Parts: sequence; C-alpha cells; structure tokens
Amino acid sequence: MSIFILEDDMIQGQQLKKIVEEICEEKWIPFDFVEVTKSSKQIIDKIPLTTYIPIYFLDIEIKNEERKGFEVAQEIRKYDPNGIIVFVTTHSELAPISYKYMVSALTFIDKNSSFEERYHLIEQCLFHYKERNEQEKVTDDFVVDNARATVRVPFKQLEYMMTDEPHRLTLVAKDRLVSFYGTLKEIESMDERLFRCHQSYVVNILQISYYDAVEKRIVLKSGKQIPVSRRHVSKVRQLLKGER
Amino acid sequence: MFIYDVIAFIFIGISHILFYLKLIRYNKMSTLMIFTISVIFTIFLSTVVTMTGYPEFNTIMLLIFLLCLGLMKDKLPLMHNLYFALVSIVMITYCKIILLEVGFMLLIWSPFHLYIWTQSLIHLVVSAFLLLSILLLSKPIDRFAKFIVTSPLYYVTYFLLWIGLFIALILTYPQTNLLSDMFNEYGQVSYKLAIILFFILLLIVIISIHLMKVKIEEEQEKKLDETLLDYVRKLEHMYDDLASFRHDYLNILLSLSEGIRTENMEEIKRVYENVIAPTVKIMNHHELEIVKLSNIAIPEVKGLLSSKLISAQQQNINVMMDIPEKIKGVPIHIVTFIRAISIILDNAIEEAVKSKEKQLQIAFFEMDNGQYFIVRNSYQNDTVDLQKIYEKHYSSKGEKRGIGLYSLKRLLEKMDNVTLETSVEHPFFTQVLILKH
Repeated sequence: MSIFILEDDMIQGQQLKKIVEEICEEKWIPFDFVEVTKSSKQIIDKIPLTTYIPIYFLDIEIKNEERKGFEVAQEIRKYDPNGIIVFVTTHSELAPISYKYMVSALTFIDKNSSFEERYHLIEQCLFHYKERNEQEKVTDDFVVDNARATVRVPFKQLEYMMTDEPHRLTLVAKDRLVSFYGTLKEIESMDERLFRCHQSYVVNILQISYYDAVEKRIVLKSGKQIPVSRRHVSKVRQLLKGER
Repeated sequence: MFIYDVIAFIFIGISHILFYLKLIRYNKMSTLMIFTISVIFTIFLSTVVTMTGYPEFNTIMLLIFLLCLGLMKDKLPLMHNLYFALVSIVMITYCKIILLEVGFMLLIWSPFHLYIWTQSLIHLVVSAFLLLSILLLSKPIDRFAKFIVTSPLYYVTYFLLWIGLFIALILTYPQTNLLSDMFNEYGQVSYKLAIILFFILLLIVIISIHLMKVKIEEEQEKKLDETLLDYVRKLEHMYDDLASFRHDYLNILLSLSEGIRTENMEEIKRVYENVIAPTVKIMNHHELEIVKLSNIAIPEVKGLLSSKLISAQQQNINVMMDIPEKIKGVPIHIVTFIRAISIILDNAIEEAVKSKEKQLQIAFFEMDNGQYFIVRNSYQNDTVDLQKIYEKHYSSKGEKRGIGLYSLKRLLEKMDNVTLETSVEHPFFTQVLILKH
C-alpha cells in the first residue's frame, strides 16, 4: 500500500505528507511509503513496485502547466486502472469535472480551504483508501453495461430500480437517479442481492427495512416505499424470515 | 371474404383518424386508443349504414366524428378543424377509389383468374397500403399541415375540398332522392372529375410539402446565423476590452516608473490600488470562458451554449466551461440534443441564481464509453426530492421548473442510447447526459 504525492512546491508537498502520515498513524492506516516528488516520471516508474491499491495526490498545475496533473493522471491510468486518484488544486470549487470523469478520480482537494477542511477531506480519502484495500473484491459496484448504456453505482447506495417505459429503467440510489436503457429481466439476475417484488420493481435486499403487510409495501431504510404485487408477497415474507 | 372486407373497413377507419390526428398534430393519443376508437367507430358506422340503408351517412358521420375529435386539441380554430377533416376524408376516399381502379386494371392484365373474393382481397390490400403510407409519411404530413394554413393555397384548396366532398357523396351510391338523381345523371362525369380533382389536390400537397421544407431550412439557417453573430459580437467585444487594456497598461507602467524614480511610496501605492489592483478583474474575467467554446464544432450547440453562458454571467453567476477536447458531433438527433440541454441549462441557471454560491459548471467531453454532457449548479434548498422533480407539476419554486424537467424525461424516453443521471451533493446539483455512440 503506497501513497504518492505530486507537487512542485516542496513546502506544500512536505506539508501534505505530514498530514497524511499523521492521519495514518492516528487511524491505524498501514502504508509502505509516502513518495513526494515533482517529477511524474518518478511516480510512473514506481507503480510496478506497489502492492495492493495505491493512492495518488496530484497537484493539477505543475510548473505553470495548467493540465500537467491531469496528464499525469491519464498516464497513471495506463498502468494502474484501480489506483485512487485525488486532485489537489488551487480552486477546486470550479475544478474541471471532465478530469474527474476521464480518469475516474475520487475528488478534488482545495489548497485554499481552511486547514480543518483540508484535513477532513484528506482523512476521508485515506479512509476510502483503507476500505478499498481491505475489500476482497476490487470494487462493489453495481454495473450495467449494454450497447446503449453504461451505469455504475456503488452497490451499497443502490436502493431500487423500476421500469418507466418499455425498455427504460430508472435506478434510484441514495442521492442519485439514473434513467437508462434496459429491462428488469436483464437486471434482476445480475446480483443475488437484487429481488423482484413487483412487475416493475427490483429492490436491493440490503436496503429493506420492513414489510408493511397492510399496505403491501416494502419500506426501505431511507423511508421510501415500494409496492409488492400479490404473487410476490409470500416470497417477500420468506426473504425477511431469512429463508431464501 | 367477408372478413377481408371487415378488416379493410377497419384499416380505412384507422387511416382516416390517424391521418386527421397527424394533420391537427394531436399526439397525446396512444396507438391502442386510436385503434379502439377506429374499430368501434367503423362497427357503429357500418351498423348505421346497413340499418338505414343510406350510404351517405358514411361520409357525413365521419366528418362529424373527426370534428369532434378535433375538439380535444386546444387552440384549434374551427375552420382549420373543418379543413383538416375534409382533407382526411377527401384525400383518403379518392386515394382509395383510384387505387382500387388501378388494382383492378392490374388484375385484369395479370394472368390470375378473377374470383368473387378477389375484389375483397384488393380492397384489403389497398386499405393496408393506405394505412402503411400514412404511417410512413408522417413527417411530410406534418410539414404539409404546418405550411398550408398560412399559405394562399389554403383558400383554394378549401374550395376544392368542398367540391371534392360533394362528389365523394355522389359517388357513394346515395339513396336520398336528390343525391341519387344526381348520381344517375352525373355519375360518370363526377367520377372523371374526382380523378382530376384528386391529382390537383395531390399536386398541391406535394408542392406545399416541398415549399415548407425550403422554408424550414431557411429559418434554421437564419437562426443559426443569428446565434453565430451573437458569438462573434461577444468575441469582438472581448477583443476590444483586451486592446484597451493593453493600451492602458503602458500608461500604468509609466506612472509606476515615475513613482519608483522619485521613490514616492504614496504615489506607488495609489497607482497600485487604483490602477493595477482592478486589472485582476480583467485578467480573471469570466468572460474569457466563452473562448473555450471554440472546441465545439457544432454551430447550433456553440450558439446555444454561448447564449446561455452570457445570460448566466449577466445574472452574476460564476460560470466555468470545461471542454477539454474538440467535439465534432453528437450521436443523437441534434434538435433533440439542443432541446434537452436547453432544459437542463435553464433549470441550472434558475437554481444557481437563487443560491448563495452562484456556481455553474458545464462540461462536455468524450470518453471511451460515450459522450458526456455535465451541468453542475449550486442550489438553495437543503432538501431536494430527486424523484419528485421529474413529476409533471412539481417545482421547487414556480411552475416552470417542474414542467421543464418532466418534458426532459419525456424527451429522452425514446432515446435508447441516452442515459440521464441526476445527483445531489449539497450544495451542488448535477445532471449528466451520457450519449453512447
């Protein structure tokens, strides 16, 4: 488990390193080394030496090159598709979102924000890093990838999916809605944690709070309600008794 | 063979109604609904005609029925309603007559034998053909309907259609005294007249479709020119700003050097505060965002984005454009894309204005799995119920927003390769359109 910091201002680089080491010590996050450098080559060369999933803190503007950090990220992605990339920038509020999507970066850290804010954000990143390294699977994402749509949502955020129109699904997650091409039939068999409770609903079992027998509805942890059709009632009962 | 005729009658019924609905541009009716109505109406009509023995009812009842259907559409003047009902009746009836005639001629020339059921079969084939062509020609029909009501041909055709209707009435083997007399006397002439009339009307339809095409193209071009002109003006304006800044810059340096030469700290301070510090504004001026649009090679999109960008900046929103690479085209119909992104942008601007942060980000780029169009804006309310914003009448403030997002959803439902992702992360609201190639 390795931590890389790309920063051309040595003082800022060391500062970031100090914060990272402090957090790791306090929260028992293990790592092999923290590498602070201003040369992207040094990072790329060291990628083969890393074990598990490394985390990269990349300053976007290196030596007045506005996109340097982003280009480095693209380079890193060629060798390391799973590493966690965090961009460090002077104005994150308006940091280019395209960067985040194109190299699937985790987030942006704003150099100008207060020390506490920055500390908190770095801590979040390192928690994510720890979590990712502890999981057996690389990621636990729910992924639909057909000819007409690609959808990726962390499984634990997924609540349910429903049909809107023929061949049009809406995925409902904690703070997200995705409307895409697909059918429930194709979806329901994709993960055994998904459960078909209605003609047009598939629900994530992990999100179920209880079953309301009077209204014939499943109530989710978030309070959202999902109808259950009559022929699925017995299956819901079995499921909640743990007999599935 | 009886069943052939029944099916043919139903097809003709559907054709009439479908054609009429297309003409008045009423598209809220589902296919099933149209089908059911047509079947019921056809059965009802044939019962009435058989019971009373007056085939005239066919035409008259159909006219009344179509007029009633037209009442469902708001803002359709009665005269237009009547006009389109006439178009539907006359054109389809004549088409049918002529096609039946042609069908028979073909059959007589062909080596096939003539059976009793052959007539019914031809009837069926002709009606199926009519229905199919209406389904396939929906775009030209739409163009015709748009064009004809504003053109001088409208009055000419109105007159011709009335004559057409009258001849059609005579040709249905009428039983009323007056009409049947006329049929006996003028039947043959009417028949020829009908054919001539049909071709005249057909010619007019084709001409108006063509003229409308030209008109639409001209309008589109004009609109495009205007947006591009807007963009150019904005660029010129920025260039002027920059030029005048360069001019001032020399003077600023002069006054500074004067201050330094005399070591007059007060003077240096004054120059810095009054002259140099304000230039930060120019250097960081958000107007420069518009330059980033140069990566978009689709004039319509460039025009739309520049106008939205300008309107957002005029409302003091801090806008950031993020278009890292060249965009040459979109994998869906450009008009749909424009409509979708204008709804998204209008909503985003409206929300950003009300918020404390006043931030708006627009990103447009290609990735391996498709094209991404992202709009991210700050918003005021703490809680947004994601599912409700897409309902028809929901709105966080005022009616407009709710309807906008509702129609966005409707618009994208038919676009299979489009994924729409909406997410909130206070204080930001993000809409992502993913277009697969």
